[in-house]
Amino acid sequence: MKGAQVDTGLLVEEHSDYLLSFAMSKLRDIDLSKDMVQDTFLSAITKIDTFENRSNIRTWLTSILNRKIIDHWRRAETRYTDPISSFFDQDDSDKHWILDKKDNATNETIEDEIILEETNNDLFDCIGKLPEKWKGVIASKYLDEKVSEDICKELEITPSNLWVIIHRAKLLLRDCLRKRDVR
Amino acid sequence: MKNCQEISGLYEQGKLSRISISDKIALRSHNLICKQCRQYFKDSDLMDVLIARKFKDLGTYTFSESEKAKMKEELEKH
Repeated sequence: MKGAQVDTGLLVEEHSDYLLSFAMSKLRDIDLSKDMVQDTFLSAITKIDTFENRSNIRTWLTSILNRKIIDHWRRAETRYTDPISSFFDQDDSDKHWILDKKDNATNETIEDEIILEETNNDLFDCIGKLPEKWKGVIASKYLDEKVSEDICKELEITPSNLWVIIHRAKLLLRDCLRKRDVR
Repeated sequence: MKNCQEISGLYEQGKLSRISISDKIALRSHNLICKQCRQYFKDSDLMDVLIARKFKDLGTYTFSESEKAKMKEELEKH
């Protein structure tokens, strides 16, 4: 398809909203998602020569967008330097970690709390507060249901990084959900 | 003896990959004596389900007409 002409207006009209929803599902950040979609169109236009009509144009655009999202996560910091939770204070590592939270650790499971409020977006808000790289891990694991090896390869982390991130992310999410419940 | 933080980490590790027999024993025995970790295991399993579910019921997002127009204009330059 050398020198293929595309109607950029039509491209934007037909695919921009779909791509934006796709980006939002992974990034949970509207401004970032919009930028990513715009970038995707730019790349698509400059690389239109490589597009083969055999595949669906939407699939092709989505794959470009997906690569950009993965690159974004890969560039993000693996380490988390701004602890929300007192949990990560390394100094008192000999303290039983759960004791600090005794006040709001009730016998009820968070299950009861969440199921009651299933319609609210607390969980998403909480995920939104995680560091970018962790969001990448969470989205790859739960949205795309990728296997561990693929997540590690894509985001350039080691297998032990992976479970440490998941562990810490869950602790932070649990903290975050509880705090919201306390309010 | 592993502490709670290590045990709960081990639990996540075990979900993602194979762990050694001695680690499995450590998990099981810790599970018997520690209420907080039992709770963590439950919460962890629950969060797997909730996060997965939340990710799947997503709303749709749209660009405004003016944003689209701007984007088209931008693209025309290339």
